[in-house]
Amino acid sequence: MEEVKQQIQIDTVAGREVLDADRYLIQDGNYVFLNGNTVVRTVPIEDIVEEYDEAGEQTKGIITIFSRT
Amino acid sequence: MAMATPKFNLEKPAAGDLDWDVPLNRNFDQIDSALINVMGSQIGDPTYDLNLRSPALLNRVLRIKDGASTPNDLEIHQVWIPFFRSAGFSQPNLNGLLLGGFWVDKYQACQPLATATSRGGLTPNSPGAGVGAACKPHVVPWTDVSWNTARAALENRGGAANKSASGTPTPCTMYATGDHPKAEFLVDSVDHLVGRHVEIVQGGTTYFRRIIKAGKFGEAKYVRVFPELPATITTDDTYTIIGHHMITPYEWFSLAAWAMTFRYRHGLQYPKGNNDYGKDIGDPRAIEYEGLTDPVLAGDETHEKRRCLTGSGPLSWSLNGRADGVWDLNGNVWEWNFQQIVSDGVNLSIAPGYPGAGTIVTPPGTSGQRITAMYDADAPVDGLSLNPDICLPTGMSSGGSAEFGNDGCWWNLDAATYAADRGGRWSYGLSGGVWAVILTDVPTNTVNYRGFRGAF
Repeated sequence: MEEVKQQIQIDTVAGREVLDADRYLIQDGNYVFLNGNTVVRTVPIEDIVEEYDEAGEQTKGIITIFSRT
Repeated sequence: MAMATPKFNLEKPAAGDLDWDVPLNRNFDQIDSALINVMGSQIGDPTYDLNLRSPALLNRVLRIKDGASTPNDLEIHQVWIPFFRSAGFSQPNLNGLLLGGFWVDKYQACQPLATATSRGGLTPNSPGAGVGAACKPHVVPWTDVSWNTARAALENRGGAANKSASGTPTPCTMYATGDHPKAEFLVDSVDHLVGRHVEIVQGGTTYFRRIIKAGKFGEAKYVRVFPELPATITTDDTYTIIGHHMITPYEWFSLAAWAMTFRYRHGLQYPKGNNDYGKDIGDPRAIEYEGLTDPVLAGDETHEKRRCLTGSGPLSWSLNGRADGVWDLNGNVWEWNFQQIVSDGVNLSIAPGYPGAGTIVTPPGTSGQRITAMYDADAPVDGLSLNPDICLPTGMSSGGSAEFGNDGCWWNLDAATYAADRGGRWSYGLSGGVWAVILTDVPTNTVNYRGFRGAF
């Protein structure tokens, strides 16, 4: 089984998910999350819920929670 | 005779087959594509082909002293941004702007003795009187520094020689025969023309301006600034011209607009950078896309990398996609800009003395959204406009606009004075980039994810 190199946590109106994904882009009104060249999830932009704390740290939204090479 | 082994194994280009029955120049596009594929494969970056066609930029390395009592030797790498006219924006007032015309630090600033393993031995926010900032590749960037300390470290470059009359304000001489009485004056000596950044004190307020012209037919002491001052410049006013200084919004806008004019509008990408824990959020997680770890702030429990050494990423992290470009404008650490913003609790406006002072610049929408439009209220005349001097968003949405890199903007309406920082840091993902700006930090703030950059 291929080791996970990166995980991205997303907060949507439906709740929190953790994706095995190492990159994302914006395409046709959606966030497209990929693992390498494989699309693992597509989420409408307006479905992502973002929050920042007083220090400017993002607490909700799209956050890379794990990464290694 | 045996065929020679080809140096490169050219595969059939995707753009189409070579047709050997037509003149060679008709095959240039196909040959170009094939060579680009080879070059891309050599560095392991399939986007490298996008970088090959960007213009080269002139570089220089200064070796000067600072103003410390025991002067430090400063190594400063800089890139010349030539004058150019902006093009490619969907907002007409952002096109045709006369931009560039300055040297900018090639990398984020560092302490004089910074290395790949050490910040350089000085306390970041109290380095000592007169200490100047260096700018070197593959070293620990100078972070944890306030706006005022960063400004001083840059203006300390070259010691007293960095400012006209060693920093002593000098009365302006009126230029009686000019057409711009609020923008023109004569300096006391041509020796005072040490740079392109000037402070003019008029009526008790210090105005920060850029010099757009020095010298004129028959008058070598002539100076014209932009934007003009509130009143005619007289001998009651004083000037201090400064060489090395903190990057201004005009200069930052010039870099972003350079990327638009010479890259984005031709289908190339904006500069990438360390906005995803050592790599760009658009690249896969692989070593060839990563910068080198800054050991002073290495990874944490869940990430192998956070901050990177200056200029240590792939070529795609450079302004022009080449080794001779300006590095790390996207991510790694936020960079203080020479711009302050005041909030009265309701609105943000440009602080007194800065270009566009008093202009309401409260972005629409919600802090943290992405940019869809930039300030464009001042129609350019002969290429001159306040738009690049303000360099703040006027349109925001959840997804933003690819034209502005889907970059983000953050602000705070609590009554205070804030200093702008631009570019992003290692964790801001697609929101980081050359258009990204954050207006939530008071000038005294010091954090490990903010540094600075000089210009001249």
